Amino acid sequence: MPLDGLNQIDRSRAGQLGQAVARRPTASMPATVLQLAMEAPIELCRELLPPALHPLTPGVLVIMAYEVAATAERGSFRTVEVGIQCRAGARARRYVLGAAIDDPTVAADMESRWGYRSTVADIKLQRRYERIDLTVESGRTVLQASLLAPMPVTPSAVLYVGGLRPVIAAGQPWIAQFERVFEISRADRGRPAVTELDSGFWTDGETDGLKATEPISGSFTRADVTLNPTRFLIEPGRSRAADTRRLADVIG
Amino acid sequence: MKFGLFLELSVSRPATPEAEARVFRHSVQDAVLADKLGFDHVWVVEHHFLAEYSHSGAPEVLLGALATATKQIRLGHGVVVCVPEINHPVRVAERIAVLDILSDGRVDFGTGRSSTWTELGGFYGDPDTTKQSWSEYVETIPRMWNSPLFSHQGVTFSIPERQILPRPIQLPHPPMWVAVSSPGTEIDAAERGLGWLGVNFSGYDALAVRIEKYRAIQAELELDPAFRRQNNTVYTVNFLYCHEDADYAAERGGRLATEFQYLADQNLHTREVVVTPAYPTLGGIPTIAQRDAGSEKSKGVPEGACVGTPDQIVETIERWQSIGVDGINFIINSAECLDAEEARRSINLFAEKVAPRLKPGVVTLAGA
Repeated sequence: MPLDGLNQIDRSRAGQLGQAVARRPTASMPATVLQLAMEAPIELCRELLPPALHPLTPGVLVIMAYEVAATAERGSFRTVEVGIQCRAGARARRYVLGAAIDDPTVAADMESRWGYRSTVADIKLQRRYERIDLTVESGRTVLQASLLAPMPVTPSAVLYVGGLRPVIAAGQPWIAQFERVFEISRADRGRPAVTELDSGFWTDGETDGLKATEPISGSFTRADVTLNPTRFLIEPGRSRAADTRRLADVIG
Repeated sequence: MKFGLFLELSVSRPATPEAEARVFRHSVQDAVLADKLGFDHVWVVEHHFLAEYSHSGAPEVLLGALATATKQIRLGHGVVVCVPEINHPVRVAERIAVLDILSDGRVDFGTGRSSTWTELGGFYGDPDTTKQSWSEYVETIPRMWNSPLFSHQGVTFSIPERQILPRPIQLPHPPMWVAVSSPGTEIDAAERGLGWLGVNFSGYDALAVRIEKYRAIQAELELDPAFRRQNNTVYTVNFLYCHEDADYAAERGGRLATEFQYLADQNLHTREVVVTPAYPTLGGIPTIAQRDAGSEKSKGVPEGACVGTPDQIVETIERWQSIGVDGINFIINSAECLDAEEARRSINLFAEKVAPRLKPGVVTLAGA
């Protein structure tokens, strides 16, 4: 019996990918990147993933936060994603459940050019000598998490797997590849801790049960980040084998 | 050329007690058949928490049963996870020795450190130190068996002076191996005089380069004969589906390979989520991606798989042999995606029409 996702993509919550789609990579953006991996209940992960994706045992919740430097082309902004580590076919991927961006202009651009839906929220990423704290507020605190006891580690120890997002393209629901390229110049690692996670906010009301259970590992890096254009889509309903199409073949 | 079976004890969801019992029963029957057919090894893996992929949490118990149910075949206990939170080294030394006694000196001792967070995290093991604990086990366990009294103040474990009992029949120790998947582990193996127990699927060219390096290091190795015996043998793992009809074999063998990889995909590899230099690769995942790339024309059969007619499989094995592989351990079924009788027909045909052409003197019992 396959261990596939069970969720159907909700059209009202998926971003639109149309003719405004990004056709080339962004300029490289200097940024600091926080990644926290925690175990999560596998059955819940299964309920949140589409059938084309399947969860891992144990389930894994991944929080990623980016603070783009003021020297970047777009200026400084912060973004946070909450997602589930999964497989698309045989490939390791991270399915983004929800995202927040602190700059409305960037949020709008991300939606129109990458089909990347997010909520505008206040985001703080604070580095201290013994911890790095992440706070997201949207009328209330919807995420509070930390990387504890950060210690330097070789940049090659850090792995970022490719992201996936639900989108609508040519009137149909798809899972879109969301691919960033990282050139890491410095890395710390530490122990993740999540003290507040508003499940309803990050899953758009789909479940109030999303939670982090056991800590796994976390990192904090300084990296140059490039966001590639979306090139591939996955048909979300087909189980066990990821059926991948070129975006250009779908939207022309 | 030597041949063996890898018993993964994979059980399809939902894993009812009846389904698990059936898989264990069939695995014992497969091992007994392999023994009669002249196979050299049967390996029983050790895995924990890997639902569907492997329900082999207590391989020492199954191997105890196989020690009495078989006569000639060597019993591979492997790989034993050499991590203190999972297996204390003294308990490993004890159970390998007991198994060697019960089997009249037929044990091979496979070692490893686990590549999945599913397992390591389940025991709160520390991925940073598994390579070190593995190295410490490999160095000290033979000393436990060859010292009247043993004590050790180490890095990952310590033991006050004690007599480790019993001792194995094969002294200074049963043949020792290490599971090799990540590039570089073959160098760890060679530097310690350990056999190479391949546990993932790689293509010919990549393996040939690594074997050459392994042999070169082994050739210059000097071990203390009071404690250590060199094992300079390379075994790889492979799927086996042998049938007189090539298309049918490809379809069934492809199903076997696809099912196995699908089950493996559920496991959470340490590299994916733990920030550590100690796990530099994703384990089997890149190999799986290679399989996906070639699946259109190959029906899911990876390059170099022993899937096909007897003639095709002979040709495949000769190619493995040509790059320095000494033996192949076969996976003949996965979560019973093949009927147990169908899998046995495949190994019977292999024993009748393939093995004798590659391995003079093999016993053939067609229809066994």
